[in-house]
Formats: sequence, C-alpha cells, structure tokens
Amino acid sequence: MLTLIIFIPLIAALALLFVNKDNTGTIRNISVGAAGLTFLTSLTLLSRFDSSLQGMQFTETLAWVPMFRINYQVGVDGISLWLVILTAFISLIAVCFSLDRQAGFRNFMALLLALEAGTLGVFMALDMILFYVFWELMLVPTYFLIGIWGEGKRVYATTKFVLYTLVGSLFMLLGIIWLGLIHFEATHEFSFDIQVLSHMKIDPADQVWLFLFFLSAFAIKIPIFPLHSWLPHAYISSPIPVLLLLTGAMSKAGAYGIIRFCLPLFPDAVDSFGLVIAFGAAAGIVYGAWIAVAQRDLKALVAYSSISHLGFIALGIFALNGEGIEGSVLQMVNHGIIASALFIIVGILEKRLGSRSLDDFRGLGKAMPLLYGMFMLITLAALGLPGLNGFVGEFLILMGVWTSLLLADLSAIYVLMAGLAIVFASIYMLYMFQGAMQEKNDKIPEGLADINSREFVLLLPACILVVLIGLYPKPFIDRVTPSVESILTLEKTLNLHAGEDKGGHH
Amino acid sequence: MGHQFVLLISATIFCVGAVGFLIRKNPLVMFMSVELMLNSVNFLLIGYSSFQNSMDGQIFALMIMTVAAAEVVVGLAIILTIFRTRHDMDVDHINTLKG
Amino acid sequence: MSWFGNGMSRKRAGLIGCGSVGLSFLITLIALVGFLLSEESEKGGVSTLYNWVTAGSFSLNMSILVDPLSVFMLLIITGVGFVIHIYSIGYMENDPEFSRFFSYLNFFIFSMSLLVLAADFFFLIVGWAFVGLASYLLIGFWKEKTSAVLAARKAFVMNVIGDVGMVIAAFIIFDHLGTLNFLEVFAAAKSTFRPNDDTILLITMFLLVGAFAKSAQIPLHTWLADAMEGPTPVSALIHAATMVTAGVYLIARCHVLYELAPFTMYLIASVGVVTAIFAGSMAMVQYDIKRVIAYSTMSQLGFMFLAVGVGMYSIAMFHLMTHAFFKALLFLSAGSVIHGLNDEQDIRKMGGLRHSMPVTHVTFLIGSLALAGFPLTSGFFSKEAIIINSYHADMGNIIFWAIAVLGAVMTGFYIFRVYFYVFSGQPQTDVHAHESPLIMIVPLGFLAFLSLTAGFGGGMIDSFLATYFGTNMPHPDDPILETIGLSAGLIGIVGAIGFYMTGKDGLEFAKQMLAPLYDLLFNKYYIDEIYDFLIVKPTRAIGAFLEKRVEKFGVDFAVDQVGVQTREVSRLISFWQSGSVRLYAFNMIVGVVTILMFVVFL
Repeated sequence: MLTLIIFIPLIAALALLFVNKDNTGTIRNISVGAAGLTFLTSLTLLSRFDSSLQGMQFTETLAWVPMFRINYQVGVDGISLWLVILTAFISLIAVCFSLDRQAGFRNFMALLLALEAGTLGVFMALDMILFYVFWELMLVPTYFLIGIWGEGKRVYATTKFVLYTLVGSLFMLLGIIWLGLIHFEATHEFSFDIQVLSHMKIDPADQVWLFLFFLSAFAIKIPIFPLHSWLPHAYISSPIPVLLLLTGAMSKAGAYGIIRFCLPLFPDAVDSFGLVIAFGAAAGIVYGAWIAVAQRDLKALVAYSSISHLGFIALGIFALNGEGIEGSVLQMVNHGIIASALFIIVGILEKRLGSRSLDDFRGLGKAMPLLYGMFMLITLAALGLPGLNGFVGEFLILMGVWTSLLLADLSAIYVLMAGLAIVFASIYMLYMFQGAMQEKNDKIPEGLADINSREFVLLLPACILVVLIGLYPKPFIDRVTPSVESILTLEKTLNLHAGEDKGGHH
Repeated sequence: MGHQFVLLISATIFCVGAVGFLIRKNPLVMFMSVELMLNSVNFLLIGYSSFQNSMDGQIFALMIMTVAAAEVVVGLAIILTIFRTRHDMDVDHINTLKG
Repeated sequence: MSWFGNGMSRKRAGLIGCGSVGLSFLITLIALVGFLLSEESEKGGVSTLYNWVTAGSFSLNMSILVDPLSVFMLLIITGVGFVIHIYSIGYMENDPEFSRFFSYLNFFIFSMSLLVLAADFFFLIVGWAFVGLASYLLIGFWKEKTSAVLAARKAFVMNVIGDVGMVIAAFIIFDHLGTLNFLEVFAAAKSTFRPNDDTILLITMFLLVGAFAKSAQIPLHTWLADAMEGPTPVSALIHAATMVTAGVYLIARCHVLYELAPFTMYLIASVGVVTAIFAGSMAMVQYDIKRVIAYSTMSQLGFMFLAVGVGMYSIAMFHLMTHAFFKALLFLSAGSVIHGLNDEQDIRKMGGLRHSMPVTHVTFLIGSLALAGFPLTSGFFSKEAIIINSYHADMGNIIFWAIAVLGAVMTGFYIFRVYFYVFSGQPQTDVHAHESPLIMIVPLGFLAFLSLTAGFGGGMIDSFLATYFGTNMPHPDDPILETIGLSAGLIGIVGAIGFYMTGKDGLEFAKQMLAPLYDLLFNKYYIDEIYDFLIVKPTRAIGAFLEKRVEKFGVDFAVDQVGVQTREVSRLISFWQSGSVRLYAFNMIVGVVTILMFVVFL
C-alpha cells in the first residue's frame, strides 16, 4: 500500500519520458491520473488508520542490502500520516495548476511527479539509509525544476539551494553511518532501522555530535534562522507549482526529521541545545515577519512570511511537550494548506496582470469578487485569526512553549516574540490583501476575468479545510497524539535509564 | 668498504640524474637523466647481489632494464609527437595542462 | 449571503437579516424569563457542545455559559442589534451592496453572542477575534474608499494587539491553574493566589491589554475615531452599543480575578477616568458629527471602566445598558440627519433642522439629554451612580470623583454644542433636508423611549446581576456630592447654550484666544502623529533595513562567501598545477625525500 503510494508517481514520471513531447493530452492524463491516484490511495490510509496504536502502521519490509541489514522499510504513524496525505494533496493541486504550461511540459510534469515520489518516501521511510535516499531524491528534480522553469536569478537560486541543502545532507549521512557503527559495536550487527535504533543508549558526548550532524540537515531544510538565506532566492525564483511542493511538503520534511530522529535518539543533546535552537526559531519568526512588512513583491512577501510560520513549527518542536509537538504537527498541515493557497492566489494574479508588485495591483476586488472572498479567507487564516486553522496551531505551540520545561527560562520571551510577529502578520497580510483587492483603480485592464472554475476548484479545498480544522481540530490531533506521546516517552525513558529524571510531565 | 663504495656511487649517480632532470630544459637530456637514475639503482642492485651471493638482485635489475626500455619507447614517442607539432625543444613551454 | 449577494432582492435580504436577529432576541427573552422565574440556586448553567481538542495535557470543550451576566449582555446585543437592523434597511437602501452589509452585520451579532456566551477563555478569544473581524469588514465596507480601507486595517491591527495580550493571559492562566474554563478558573483562583500576587497582576494586565484595545481606551484608542468611516448603523451597533463594551464585559466577567489584583483595578479606574476627560476634551472641538459621538463613546466607556475599577460592576453594566440605548439613539439620529442631507457630516454645514426633521430633532434631543445626564433620563441614573460611587466605593477617592465630574460637564457641553449647531438657527446648506422614512423613525422612537425609561430599572438590574457579582451595589447618601454631580451635566448644557448664543464673533474670538489649546484638541493631541513617528515608521524602516543590510550583507553574504572563498582557495591552489613538467618532478622528489626522512628517523 505505502509502496504503491511512493511508486505510482515515480513510475508515472518514468512513463512520461516515453511519451512524445507534443502529446499534451496523454501527458495531462498520465500526470493528473497518477497524482489523483496517489491522493486517493493516501486517503484510504486515513480511513484504515487506527488512532489508538502508538507504533508504525501499514509497514512493509523488503531486504535490500543484506550484508549491512539495510532494508526497504516503510510505515506511517500519526505524525507521518497527515504529512503523507498533505503531500499527495498538494502534489495533486500542483499538477492541476501546471496543466497549461507550454514550454517543456512533459519534462516538467515528469520532474514534478518525481519530486512528489521523493517527498512521500521521506515521510514513510523507516530505514535510515532509505530515508537518506529519498531525501536526496527530493533534491534532484527541484534543481532542474527551479533552474530551467524558474525566473529571475534562477540558476543562482537553485545552485545555492541545492548546495546548501547538500552540505546538511552530507553531515546527516555521516551521522547515519556513525549510528550504524554504534549499533554494530553494541550488538555486532548492523541495523539502520529507526525503530531499533531509537531504543539504543548513546553516549552523551557522541550524542552531541550526532545531533549536530542530523540537525544541520534538518535545520537547513525547514529552515531555522540563521540557516534560512537560501529560502528567499529559491522561493522567488521558483515556478508556482514547484513552490507549492517546496513550501507545502519539503519544508516539513525537516521538521519531521527532527521529530522522528533527533528527539528519540539524542535526548541529552536536545536538552543541552534545545534552548539555543528555539531561540533561532523564535528569531526567525520575528525576522521573517519584520522583513515581510517591508515587501512590495507579493511572492517575496509570502516567502518571508513562510520563514516566520516555519519558525513557529520549529519552535513548537523544541517545547518538548505534548501541546508543543502536536501543535507543531498540526501547524505543518495548516501551513501546507495556507501557504500553497496563498501562492496559488499570487500565481493567479500574476497570470492575469503580468506583475507581482503591489504597486501595480489595486482595487481588483471589484472585478474579481470570487477571488476576493477566497483571498480574504486565506489571508485571515494566514494571520492566525482565531477560529481558523492557523490560530489553533499557533495557540497550541505557544501554549506548549509557555509551559515547557526545557525552555522554561526564556519561554516568556519566545512567546512575546511570537506575539510581536503575530501583530506584524496582521499588518503585512492585510497590507497585501487590501493593497491588491481594495481601493479604487481606474487602470484595470478590460475584461479582467474572475477566477475560472478550474482555479476555483483548486482553491476550494484549502478554503474548506481552513475553516474545518479551525472549528474542529479534534480528528486531526487525535491521530497524532499517540505517536507524539511515544516519542516523548522514548525521550524520557532514555534519560531515566541514564539516571536522570527529566520527568514532571504527563 | 665494498658496501659503502657501491652505496656512494649509486647515490651520487642518482643525485646527478635527479638534478639533471630538474635543471635541463631539453626533453632528451631529461630522458637521459632518468636513465641515469635507473642505472644507478641497477648498479646498487647488482652490487648487493654480489655481496649477498644471490641472483635476486641481478634478475630484478634485468626487469628494471626491460621496463626502462619500454618506458623510453613510449616517452620518446610522446616527445616526437609533441615536438613534431610545435618545433620547440623547451619543456617549460608545454603547459597546456595548466590548472 | 455575501456570495449570493447581488442576486438577492433587497426585501429578502433585509428580511433574512432582521429576521435572524429578531429570532435571537426572542430566544434571549425566553431565557431571561426562565431566569427570572427560577430559583436563586438554579441560575446559570454550562452546557457542553462537543470536545474540541485534546492535546497533551490541554483539553478543551466547546461549551456555552448561560448565566445572568451573559443573558444580560445578550439582551442588549440582540435587542439593540435587532432595532439597528431594521433601521439599516432604510439607511442602506441606496447602497448596491445591500445584502453584503446584512451578512456582515449578522456575522457580527453571531460573534458578539459567541463572545458573551463563551464558557472559557479560549472561545472568548475566538469570539473576540471574530468581533474584531466583523468590525474590520464593516468599517471597510465601502472598500473603494481609501480612507475606509486604512481605517479598517488600523482597527484590525490594534485588535490583534489586544488578541495577543489575551492569548498570553490565557497561557499564564493555564500554566498556573491547569484549565481555561471560567467557572473552574474562578473557583481555583481564590485559593491559589494572594492578593496582588505577581502572577495575578500579570494575568489581569494582559487581559487588560485586550480590554483596552477593544474598548478604545488610552493608549489603544486611535482606531475608534477613524472607525467612523463605516456606515452609521455600524457605528451605532458596534462602536457604541456592543463591541466596544466587550472590554467592560471582560472585566466584569473576570471580576474574581480582578478583585485579587487591587493594583490593576486602580489602574483600570485611572485609565478610565483619564480617557473620559481626554476624549471629552477632543469631542468639544470636532466638526464631524460622527466623530463627536465617537469620542463621546470613548469617554463614556471611560466612565464604565472607572466603575469597574472601583468595584461597582453592576453599576457599570447598568451604564453599559443605558449607554447602549442613548448612544445608539444618537448615532442613528445622526445617521438620519446625514441621510437626510445627502451624506453631509460637517455640523457647520447643518442648521435649523428643527423644522425640517422634527422627529429626528426630538430623538436627538432625548439622546443628548440622556447622555448629559439630565435628571430622570436613564443616563442620569447610571451616570449619577458612577460619579457618586467613584468617591464612596471602597476603592474610590476624591480625585476620581473630581475628574468624573469634569467629564460630566464636558459631556453636557459637547453634545449640546452639536445639538445647537445642527438643529437650531438657520440652515447653512441649500440641500433641502427631509425627514427620514418610517422604517428609520420607528427604531429611533423605540430607542428614545428606552433612553427615557430604562433608568428606573436600575434596581432590578442590580438584583438580577447580584447573583453573579455576589453583592448588591449600595447607593450612598451624600447630598453635597450628589448635588454637584447632578448639576455637572446641567452646567455643561448651560455652557453650551451660552457658547452658542454668543454668536459667530464670540466664537472666533474664543478660538483665537485659546488657539494652542484648540490645536491640540482638534488634532487629537497629535497622538496619531506620535504613533506614526514612533511606531509605524521605525517598523517599516527596520523591516527594510533587515532586508537590505542584514539579509544581503549579513546572513546571505556569509553563505555566499562560503562559496566565494572556496573558489578563491581553489584558485590559489591551482597555481600549483602549472603544467610544467619540471615542477611536477620537483614535487615528486620532495615527496620522496620527505617520506625517506620519515622512514629513517621514525
């Protein structure tokens, strides 16, 4: 089942390469079919998921490299379940959004589907080497997608992005191999299985290095301030469908990695470094928001606001309690929905008016009432209006931070920083929305059409989900809770065995 | 006595060959220096083979000579090709491999 | 409704809009009756709708709290709301976006109801934010007008500041008491905190940030005056009767917490009373009729905060109710004037409307009298009570009293100044004013009636709310202070009469004499400009700075330098690859010698 989900897009991508370049009909059918099929299959996962179990479900194992006991092993639990569904969903939307691309259509679609496959694999892999393979697999199509179909200084942006991420990934590879060796020393057997390794006791001094290695890869990916400077360039140069996947799914891979790897495996290191990293995250929240206030280019504005929101996600993780991590996971889903909807709207506007600067937009609401309504809804969700999904995530995260034991000394400051960023968010989001949609403009081109039915359908799920999750987040969180709790317990029991009591929590 | 003599001569000839290789610009002379170095080693081997009453040294010296011959063939062929096109007998001017 | 908007006929939109609110009002009335009939101990109850989320140790149910306080507020919200809805059918009849207006208005009523019915802090905050959203939508209703759009944004951003304050307060509460449910929090607070404990001070102050933002008290008040960009019914409903009173409601609801923090109470009273005269002074010189009434609202809210600040909760709620009546009346009457004069809002261009708009004249007069606290009007009873108690309550003092009296004088003055400008004398404009249609008059009449009579219900309200607040409010007997307080409003009215009677020259003379003071007041003490200078501009500047300098030359620079320096080093190393055979040979020999040294000497 899970293997199916990963490989449908991959096979479709390969199949596309055999299709004639000009046969747009077939290309369209294959891509949409593959993305749709993947999404539907992921939904069946949802229906058959048992939310009371703590461990991995739907696991599949296949021996790969027997000598080192590297297996092809995939599975999902509460945390990855939603991320898988989110990725499939965003990919479907990205595919549908790019159906009218002219140049290099076939190759674009193939790469997009490959990117989807890589991202799905990252969330499902249970073997560390497999995880690494999919991690790199995410990177390769992105390089080409941004480099060929991007805009502005695209080659510079994509090279920077890829090299920066690669540096982190290489460190992670070092860490993976080291972990394998540690296991070998302990048991005279290799194993790269995450679940097995999570139960190992690792020497605190080693933990520090291992944690830093893994963290470097994940912190660059999310990104956590100050390792974020690839993001503005990459986001601004990237074409919108790629951007949907980039911000909606790939950035979450970093956060997921921290939860899956760093927390259970390196608890001592997390305790030592958590406060500092959380500071980076909080700084990123304010930093991204503050720069967004001064932006006039819509895409740049949303890009910087993404830094801010992703900072929230990172902050929540390092609160190290149920509220924080669950809020973080929820916010991952939320941000995926909101950010992709925002970028779609930016893309629609750009397609209609040929520009992205707020200087050129004004008073469009009169001509596009439907877009006006949806844009407003998404804007409100983005700025964290209570009652919509953004607020739920932010509230849980900040609640977690405030009551966190790990961050106790600085938690109030972090929350205040986040509060400041929330006020900024209302400023720049409204600035964006009002600047584009309100006020009078006499120079609107004739025949400016409102969003057509295709675009409406693309935006509609986001709008519905935004309200739904905001009003009734329980089903989402319930499925996440057991897995988060198991990770937190792992994190604490290891400490207990080491003789220290870091408990005091539920 | 004999050992020192052999060692000394071998080392001297080797150094002469090495220095000659480094200093001269003409590729043919450089080759001759390489041959000098090889022969100095041969000398050493044969000398020690006689001291130790074993055939190993002489056999190895023969092998070295064979290899030297083969290498000279290849080297001279390369030199000929290069200088056929350039008509320049200065080794310093072949720097197209410059990084 | 906002999507099907233009397709729906006016009548139907109006019907649905008003009908839904009317229905709510009826239900509230039923609840009220139920309350009045039931036993003391049965009053109030919480009903849980569904479990909203459980994360970590944090569990939240969506539940409603129905108790005297919430029913009281709900009555005002739905009742006055219903009246204003009917009025709006007439006021907005020429507006092309009729249906959208009603959908937003309904959304507001929903949000405000959610706010007062919430059983815990979380949904209070949700309702709070929704109300802010409704306010934003309605202020910026005429979205083609730049000034309206900016005003809406200003209001919303200030509201968010309040939101953040409340959320932080919620965190502190949860951290210390483990729950956000009102009943549980209030029960636990008494046993957990000593009075003036640091934590309780923090909680109350953060909640105060929210209250001040919503109720436009200093220093978060600048949005209210600009909020007048919205249609007049909006100003009446939101910025007079209901939304801005949410702050007062919040403090009344959490009175248990505030009683544990006397310092904060003192702060509330002080800010309230200062805002009262601050706003009152500005109202005395404004020329836009709606602005005067807006500043008046700010001032009256200050009075309400003064009341809660000295612990007189049910009196504050009483004043809240009477204020809702007469302020809505004033706004709607002003709206009638504006509507009749084809959207003219400058009082210097009005005059002599006493004859052309008789009904509006009477209603406006009644509203003004009530506002000024003319004896026997509802405003008289409630304001009187506040002024007296500002001295006699346990936490009151003479300074509060004195400033409150000054505020009352100002109140009388500014509102009657407007009255005389608008209704007396000669018409200053050529536009022929006509009386408003019946659909606008009837609500006016209804509110006028209430403004006159509601005052007598003071005792009833007091006992109704007493079950929540725990005590009945005393009415102290102090003849001297009562007389002074009584006459305060009258002095103001007389002042206005005298002022107006001196004629134009006298006015000019006075203006020149007091020019600096006049400028200060007219320009709202330059607070907007100060804020712009201290906050808005630096924020933008820092944002740009961060991008240009820090990003380009700092972080990004560092990353790029990694690449650049690597290339530099490569370039330096590449000199070694000279292509020269001799150099290579030399390298080889050096290498061999080094190895030999190692072998020989190690």
